[in-house]
Amino acid sequence: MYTRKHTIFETLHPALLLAYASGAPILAMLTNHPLFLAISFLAAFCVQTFYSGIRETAKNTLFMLPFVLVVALINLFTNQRGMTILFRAGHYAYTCESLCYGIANGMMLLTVLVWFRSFSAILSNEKFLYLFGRHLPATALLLSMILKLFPETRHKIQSIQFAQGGFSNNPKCGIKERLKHSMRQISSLLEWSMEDSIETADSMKARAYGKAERTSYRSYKMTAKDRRMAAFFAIAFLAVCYSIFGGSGRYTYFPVMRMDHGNILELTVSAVIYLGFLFTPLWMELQLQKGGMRTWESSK
Amino acid sequence: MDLCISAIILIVILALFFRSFERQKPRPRDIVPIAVMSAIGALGRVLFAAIPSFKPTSAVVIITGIQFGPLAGFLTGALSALASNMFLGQGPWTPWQMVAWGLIGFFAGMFQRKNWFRYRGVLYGFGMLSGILFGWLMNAWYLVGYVNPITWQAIVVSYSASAVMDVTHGLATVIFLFALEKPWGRKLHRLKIKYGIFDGRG
Repeated sequence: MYTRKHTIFETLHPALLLAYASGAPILAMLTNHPLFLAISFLAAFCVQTFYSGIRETAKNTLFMLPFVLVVALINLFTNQRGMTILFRAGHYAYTCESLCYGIANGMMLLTVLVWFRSFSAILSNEKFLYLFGRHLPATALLLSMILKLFPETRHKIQSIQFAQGGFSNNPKCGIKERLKHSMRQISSLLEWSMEDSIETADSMKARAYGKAERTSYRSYKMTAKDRRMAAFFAIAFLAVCYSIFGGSGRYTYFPVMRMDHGNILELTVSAVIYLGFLFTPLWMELQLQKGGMRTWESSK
Repeated sequence: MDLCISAIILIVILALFFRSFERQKPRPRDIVPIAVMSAIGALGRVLFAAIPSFKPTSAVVIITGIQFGPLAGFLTGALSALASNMFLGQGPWTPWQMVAWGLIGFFAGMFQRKNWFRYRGVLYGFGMLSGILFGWLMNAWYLVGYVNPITWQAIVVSYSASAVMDVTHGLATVIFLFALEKPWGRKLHRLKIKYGIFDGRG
């Protein structure tokens, strides 16, 4: 899968990238308001397109679309609240409100999934480990070791299959024989990997693992620009949260669909702030391309 | 909303386990075997991803819990979920899966301490049940997050929709336990004694 490698956004401090990559899906999960759902979905789609290209994004989104339908239908058939009756079956009434509520919830699910698709593109595994490595050194080591073991273990499986291939892939064998062979392969894999792991552990000990604090290959410093962006993120997050919990961003589906407080101005302002927060990777990139190079250089 | 609250609770549970692991100041010899078992568990899940619900991960986690203790079992389960999702896709289900597989490993370790697994029937029953309960917990994730209000109809629909997959997962776990528990148990036990991994601790 293609991911865009060098972006302006990733020059920010990893903590900010984490705040963005987890803040966007969290905000998406918090609200049912159709406008906020639409904004978040649009942003998630654009950001994933920015990182992985339109074809990949469209394919993923289409693939996940049936889930939205399932959620909407389950809601329609199990939830009988609401005033506007679409149709009746027996003594059950199926309402427009529960269908809309289901569609909104399905869209929320879809949006969160699309956000998580770009999570690792926004925050690379290396930066993730940088953030958590200092407070949870053993856990960070475990995780980075597992990631390294993946290709290695795959290679081991291939070697074992190659060595034992003569009898394992023989279609003349019965299913019981073949199962026995594959279980033997898995057992060889365990033994080989475990012996290797002990060697790794001894070599780590010989290189004085655990004698000093864990360090990272690259280190990141909070710059003035990072602090400005952090302030922007914090303000945007609080503003959207205020709108979601406190007023204009609330939306009721039952018994009749309506906004809780009809303050259009407040809603517009928070929607614009929400857009500004979610589209950060894109506008930072555009700022550079539109001859913003000088401002960028000076602000570094 | 509910999804966020439940995610926070789950992350606190995970943090407690990982903290207690950090507290022990684990040596490389205690860390690397967990990494290997998690990698095998996660890779098993990725390799078998084509067959829905048929995955060796639970069995690998259970065997680790039995041989290396409850804490190592929990870590292996949680990290298998986290690492395999780095390939299969992270999502709001990640903390749920981490806790579910972690608890499978944890309880396997606890049962072994109580010596309940000396009857093979208990082991297979545990495997079957862990597969089914894993599926039920994943249904709970979906219900808490996306169905509101939670009516008994919604519960019946989603639990009956997943019944086949849950039973498949349970059966797969039993099959893998049947084939692997004895030989792997022997090998891990030998390593434990030969190299002194996890001696006297979690």
